[in-house]
Amino acid sequence: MKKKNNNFQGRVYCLKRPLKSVRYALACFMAVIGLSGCFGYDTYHPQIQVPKVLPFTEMRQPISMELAKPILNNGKIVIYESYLLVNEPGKGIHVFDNAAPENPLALGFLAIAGNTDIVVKNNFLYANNYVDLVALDISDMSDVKTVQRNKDMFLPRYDPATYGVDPGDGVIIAFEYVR
Amino acid sequence: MRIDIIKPSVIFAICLLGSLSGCGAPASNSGSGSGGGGGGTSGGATVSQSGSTAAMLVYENAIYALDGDVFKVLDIASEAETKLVSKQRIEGAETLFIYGSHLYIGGQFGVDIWNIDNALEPVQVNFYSHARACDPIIVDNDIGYITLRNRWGCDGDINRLEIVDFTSPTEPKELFRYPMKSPVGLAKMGSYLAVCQERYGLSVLDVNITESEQVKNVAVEEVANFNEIHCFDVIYNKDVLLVTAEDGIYQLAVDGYWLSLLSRIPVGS
Repeated sequence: MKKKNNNFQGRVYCLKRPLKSVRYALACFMAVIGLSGCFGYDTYHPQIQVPKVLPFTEMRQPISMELAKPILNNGKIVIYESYLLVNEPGKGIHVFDNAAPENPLALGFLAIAGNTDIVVKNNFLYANNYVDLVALDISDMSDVKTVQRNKDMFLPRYDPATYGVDPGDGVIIAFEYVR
Repeated sequence: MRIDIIKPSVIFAICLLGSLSGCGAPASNSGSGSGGGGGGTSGGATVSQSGSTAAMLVYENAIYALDGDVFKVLDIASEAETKLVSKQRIEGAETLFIYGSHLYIGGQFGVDIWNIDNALEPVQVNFYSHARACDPIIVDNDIGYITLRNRWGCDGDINRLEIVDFTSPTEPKELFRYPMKSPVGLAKMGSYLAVCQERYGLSVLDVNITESEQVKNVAVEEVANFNEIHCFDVIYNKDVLLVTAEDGIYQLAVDGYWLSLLSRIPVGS
């Protein structure tokens, strides 16, 4: 007498006994469909790429100093007089008073979307703000003023035309994948 | 005692105690001017100092920027607006460095050298090609130091420091190749060279260049490695080495090749 096989091995079991039972066949079929989602292969709900747009109306506001906050990701740094300026890629610039390098003091954060590089000359801080180049007057660090906004100085990373976005609307900063 | 065989954390502890007890020398202006991309004063104006991985630099009335691999020259003479003067595609361009009256553009395919006597109208004078690998370049005392690194996105299987004679920017001469593990950003630190090697730490190299019968001889020796500082770029300013690393921005007091921890701005959650 054959011993009952207690090892239910899911699909393998199904393959060994394909005609044994309709119930098992149906269960296997549903398992394959259900599990396919786990492996990213989803035949019934294809993903579409939706561009996430930062509108110019939002991006082209004046930039001012905000409260200092922790640095989550550090990019390039520059030194200007006794200031230490730390870029957080894509987010902005953390400003430190570095007169005493053994004790740098966080003064604040300049939120500049898309920023990656900084240069300063004569108290004018130039920073890239996605496609624009902004100039900030930092002669008084407690009252930073946006003195220049040079639009479209840089190319957008993603060409709006390719993704059906009106170039006058804003900058594509990322993509969302939705069903 | 040899620095490299002592655990860096022990060195830091000793030096921190030393500096806290008042043994540290007062910071002085090293006056090196050409550290990183400019820095210090230039004709009465104060300009920022950048690390070797900068993609934007200011020089007199110009900003040089790499927009992807398009090299752009911007006119900043006016306080009201900045204008685009010229642009040119330099395939694979990644970093900018200014030394004397020349701009060195480092990239995947080599170093592009431009004369910037007229800041708003750079003139290309040469292209120094080398193995394809991403790199920053710095120049100090007419000698160029280029790091080549093998990483995702860069061709080649090379990790090394190349030392080039740029006495005549129109005729660069390769002097030496020094194999390294994963060199990235670098800075001249007095008579030494500080080189970041990411997960392989911060290395300090002693570079000795002697000249006999018009031939330059180069000897390179790694005199220290701080393997806990996983860094990608450095700036040397007023006897302090500022290091951008994975876990923060380190500031180290420099005394010869001796580095002691001053502070660390933490990064990350």
